[in-house]
Amino acid sequence: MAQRVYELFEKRVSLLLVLAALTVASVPATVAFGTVYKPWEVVLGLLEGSSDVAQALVLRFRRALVSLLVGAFLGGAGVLTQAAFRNQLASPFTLGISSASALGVAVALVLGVGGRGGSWFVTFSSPAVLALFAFTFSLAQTLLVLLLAWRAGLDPRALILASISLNFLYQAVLYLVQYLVLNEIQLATVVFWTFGDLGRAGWQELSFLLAGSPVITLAYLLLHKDLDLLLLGDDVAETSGINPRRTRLITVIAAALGAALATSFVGILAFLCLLSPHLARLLIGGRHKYLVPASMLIGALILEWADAISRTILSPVVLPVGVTLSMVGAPLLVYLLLRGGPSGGHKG
Amino acid sequence: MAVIRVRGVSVYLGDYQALRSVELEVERGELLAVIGPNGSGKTTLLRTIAGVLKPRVGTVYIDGRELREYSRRELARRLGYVPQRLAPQQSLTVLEFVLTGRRAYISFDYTRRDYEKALEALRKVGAEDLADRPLSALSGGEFQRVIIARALACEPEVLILDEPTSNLDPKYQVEIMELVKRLSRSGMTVISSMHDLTQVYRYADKVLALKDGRVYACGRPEEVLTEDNLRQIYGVKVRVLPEYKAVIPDQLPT
Repeated sequence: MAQRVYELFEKRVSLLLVLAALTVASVPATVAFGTVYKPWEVVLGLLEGSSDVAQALVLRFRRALVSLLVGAFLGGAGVLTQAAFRNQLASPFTLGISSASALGVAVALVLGVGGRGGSWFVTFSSPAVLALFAFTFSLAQTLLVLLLAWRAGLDPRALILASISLNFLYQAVLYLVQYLVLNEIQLATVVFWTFGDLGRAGWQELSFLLAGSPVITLAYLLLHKDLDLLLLGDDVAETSGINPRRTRLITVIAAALGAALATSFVGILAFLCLLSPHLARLLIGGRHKYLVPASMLIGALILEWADAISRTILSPVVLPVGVTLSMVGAPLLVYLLLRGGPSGGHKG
Repeated sequence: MAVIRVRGVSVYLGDYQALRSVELEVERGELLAVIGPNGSGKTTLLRTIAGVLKPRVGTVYIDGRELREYSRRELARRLGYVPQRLAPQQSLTVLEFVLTGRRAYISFDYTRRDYEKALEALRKVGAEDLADRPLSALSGGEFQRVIIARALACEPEVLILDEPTSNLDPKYQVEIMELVKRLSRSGMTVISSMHDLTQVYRYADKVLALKDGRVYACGRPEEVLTEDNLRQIYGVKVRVLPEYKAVIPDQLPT
């Protein structure tokens, strides 16, 4: 009898290995897709030379790496927040990270440090400053939510109420700034910034993402046994030997860090935080030891291919990947939810 | 020596005083039934003994040591807690669910030994062959046994159960109570809140009756479960039938 369970666990480990292999293999595979299709022979042949085409491929390679990391952060952060909120529809963006980061960008523009006005492109001359502002505002928003929720006992309900009310506040401030202060170009920059787009992450951004990834990945993976307990309720968690409030705090901070880092470099890709945990749950079950890595890998995989689609489907126009993601992902999620029945896919 | 001693405990839920100066002693291996109407403080008392709620006044002792001196981990290894309602929000297999009861023994991940202990706990409740089933596929009675197994997985000295039979059909009710009795015979101290007074009569070693957060009576079942006491506690007339060890409502349907 026990044997059958161990076999199930082994099956899940092999599933994770397959996902990991696919995720890594997708980096070179998606490089072939773009405004101009480059078959594999060309991709390989060009690695030696240094023509313009080779340069373009290097940029595509960078995009693929960015999507891998961002996808993994968001996929993992989604699972963490859903456990902390005890709600499968929660995501780090429920905390208000999206409005907060957009407000950060707006503030950077108002202060004039986000890039000189005058030209559409100029604002992108200092993307690092925009990212820094977005990141700072996201974290500030998260801490504010946690502070409010803390006073209300840090239960999931308090978290949701604090998040939603502050989210509206941030949106209001953002609209106010947009309405009163920003000029057309700055306005367009903020709007454009909120579309998730992998193209704006350069080498510097990639290196930040890379530097953050071991810490964030480790934190996400180590939390698995406490996430299982959070979903069983605070009384059960407490009598099983952990402090549910502290665990929830750590979980939310870890998720917010990952999501804020990803968001500040590539904009808002909130939908990935819903889609990949859900797919992972269907594939591998609810135990976080497997669910967290599965959701990270699926997030990476989805984002890699969503970006490949964005680059090819309306070629030569490159769509923001956030648009592709929602257009393809939303019907898929609805289908899965309906198919899963009222329990929303709680099956083993 | 008493495993659990509750001394003058008053507990507040917000501004509401849920327990008033409760006194209680439970011996090792004893099966204590906590009875009383809804809202009389049964669950509050169990949560206080489990360390979830902190008394504003008074002290709980476990093995002669104050409850607040224990760390969460130490306490989790001594007490197994089965809440009244537990609806896991994720899809887990039975073994994975029982494994979460071993949290107080691990730091990074569950080891082979934890898996074995979890299986042993399932064996104790006679649910070993459910190990690889998804939780969502269990019947009410199976699920209740599995939840008890989860509490047993931490190898506790004291098992705390909140209305373990309230949602079960008669067959499972008897099954669960037989299981609880067996555990208590094997030396485990059991504290359980209960509504079915016949079961209390038949299975409990000792009964604590609560009313409005106060201890109304405490003693052996035949001492506490008298028609007088029960009318005072529940405000309804009942018949006590000692020869059947049963308590039935006095009023026939009109």
